[in-house]
Amino acid sequence: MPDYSLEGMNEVFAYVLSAVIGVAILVIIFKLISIPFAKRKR
Amino acid sequence: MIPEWIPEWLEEKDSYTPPSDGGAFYIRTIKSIGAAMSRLRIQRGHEKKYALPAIVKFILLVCAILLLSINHNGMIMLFFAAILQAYLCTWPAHDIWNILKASGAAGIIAFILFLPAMIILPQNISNNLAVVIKVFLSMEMLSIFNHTTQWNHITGALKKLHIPAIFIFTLDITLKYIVLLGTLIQDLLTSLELRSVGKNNKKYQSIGGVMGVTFIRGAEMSGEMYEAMCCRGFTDDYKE
Repeated sequence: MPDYSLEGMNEVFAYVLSAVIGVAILVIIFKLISIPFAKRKR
Repeated sequence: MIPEWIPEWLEEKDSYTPPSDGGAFYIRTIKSIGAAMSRLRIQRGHEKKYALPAIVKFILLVCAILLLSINHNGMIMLFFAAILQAYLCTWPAHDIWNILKASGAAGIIAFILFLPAMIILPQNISNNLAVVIKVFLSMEMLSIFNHTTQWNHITGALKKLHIPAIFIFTLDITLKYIVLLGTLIQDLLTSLELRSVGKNNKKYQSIGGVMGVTFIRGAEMSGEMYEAMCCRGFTDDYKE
């Protein structure tokens, strides 16, 4: 996984961190999308 | 008692269109500033039951921001981004939105500031983007801290760090009164808007009146606050 290495750092670690960021951002985006729908229900 | 007939002059149709008023631009500007000021609440967040003490959080925050801004290593940035997003995604949606609004605005402003540099020197673009991301992450941390800590606990933490009481006092009162005066300006301009139909040829007088009333109210408020604090035995010192 050479694409994930940052300035010669451990690329496995960078790979895992990228995965965490990706998942978290997706969760955040879906939560933000849910705001208008939650309001309408009330 | 209701009369059975309606007088004729009441049945006539009126077609009155007030002459359009051109230069209301600055009234709207001041009103939006007032609205922004009154929206600036000091504390709308929540503090969890088993939260870290505010002073620990404060020191951690300062250390984290320093580490993030001094470091040139991309790995640290990635690490911070991962931890922050992972923590933030466990929150309720509304709180996430509040946090992201503040930090996103800061990030966008930083991006706009760096845009000319990025266009002129495209070889430095990664460096500039790193700064933008650092600004965003720092603001995110700051908003999370602000959101999870009660304001009085923050002042307590500042006091424990031996910051002089006069600084804390100024900060405290300024933040509270910005909100109060913003609400006042907004109310005054709303009433002005409601009362002035059509063309107002004395706009500067009205604006001067609004500013004058705000100033007088501010002076009154400071006097009232002084008396209230005397009554409560405030000794110019904050509790640790």
